[in-house]
Amino acid sequence: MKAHAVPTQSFAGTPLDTCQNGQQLRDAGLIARLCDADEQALEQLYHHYYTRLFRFIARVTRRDELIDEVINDVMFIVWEKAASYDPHCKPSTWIFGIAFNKARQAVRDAGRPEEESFDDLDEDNSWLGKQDAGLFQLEMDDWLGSALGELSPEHRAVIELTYYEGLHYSEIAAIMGCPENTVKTRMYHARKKLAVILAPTNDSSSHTN
Amino acid sequence: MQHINKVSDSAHQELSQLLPWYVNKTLQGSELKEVDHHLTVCLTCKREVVQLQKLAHVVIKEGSLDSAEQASFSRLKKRLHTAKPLDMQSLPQQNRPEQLKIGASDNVRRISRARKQGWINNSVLRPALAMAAVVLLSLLMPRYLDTEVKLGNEFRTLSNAQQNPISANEIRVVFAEGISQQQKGKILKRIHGQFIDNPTAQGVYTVRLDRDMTPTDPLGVVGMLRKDSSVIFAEPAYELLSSTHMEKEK
Repeated sequence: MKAHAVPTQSFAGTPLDTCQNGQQLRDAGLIARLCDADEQALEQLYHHYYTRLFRFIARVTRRDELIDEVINDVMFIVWEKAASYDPHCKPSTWIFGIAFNKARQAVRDAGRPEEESFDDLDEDNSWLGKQDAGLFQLEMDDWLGSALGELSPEHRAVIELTYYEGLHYSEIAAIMGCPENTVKTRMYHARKKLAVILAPTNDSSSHTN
Repeated sequence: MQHINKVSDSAHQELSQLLPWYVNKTLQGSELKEVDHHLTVCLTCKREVVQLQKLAHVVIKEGSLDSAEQASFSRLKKRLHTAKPLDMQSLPQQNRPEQLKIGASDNVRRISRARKQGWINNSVLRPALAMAAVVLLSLLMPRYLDTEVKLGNEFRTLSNAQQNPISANEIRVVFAEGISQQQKGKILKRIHGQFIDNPTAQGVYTVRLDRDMTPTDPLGVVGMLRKDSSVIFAEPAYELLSSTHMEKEK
């Protein structure tokens, strides 16, 4: 079987800016090289995606001990299935699609994590207004982390793919293998839940500014 | 009038759902225009956009990451050479991305097979190495234990260290599984050695080197053998003087 052709113009789906398009073309070229068992290409691809996958898998699974294993599983599948990659699809969509499925499977296999306590959220946080911005940000990160823990892996994936990866809902639907309306609905519910949990934080935020 | 309100409520609902993608700037064309226009008339959505921008800002903030990328890649690389080709059966159907449902590529399978043939499979190598370690321990431990008990005044210092002249040019070798007698013969010829007895039950051969013919000392030969993939274990067969004496007494 011949390795797939690398697209030379752009990918189907959402339009990309020149920089993104260049990166996607570069990654598609690397995937094509995987069909010839080129380990250097795999190393480069791994380097391009490691941090993004780490973040994404961490967000979805919320289990530190699973992240590395899932990344390896994802890249192993990329290596093994490179020839089945559809060149009309963005490489990141394909890779994140695998990552989402692997992360979800890992969470399922690992069993339900212990419920996180949200008692801290009820504490008086008026003192936050007196802290410096760095510390406030740290607290905010922790709060967001805790708040995201209240959401399902699917909801967290939508949040991460939208805000960190900056993807359009149609692309998120392709990654998660669901209809576009499902993505919108998941985001809607995630927003509603986060709005309730983060409401005290937002108040504090206005105090600091 | 009621009808107009109903339509605008439904439009508000629909456009409100697009706000996260308005914030991440991926909306295009008519969707973007509609949301832009809606925001000029809907205060609720305008406030929602501000909240979503705050949320986006926090999510985008880089968290502390474990920068173990290189170590992680090394593990993957090891796996590429040892693991079996991915079996589609092992992935539940519902968990497979659409692209993966196409099926495994013959090309990748072929390449994967070729890769596997080029490397020693760990499933064979590991038990063999474990066996070799057990053999080594079983050979050496009784000698050391005996020495400890019966050594008496025979302990040696660096100034009078000696090696048993009988065994100084002997080495112990374990060959990899599947190595034929002919191949073993070739290896022996290369190092100018010969078997001095039959292999032990664990497959350990003792080889005596021809001092005049061997191009290097026993340690050099051991080094050569260790680089040979047909040999999974090679060590000098040094013995302590005390144990040699004891054997002679017996």
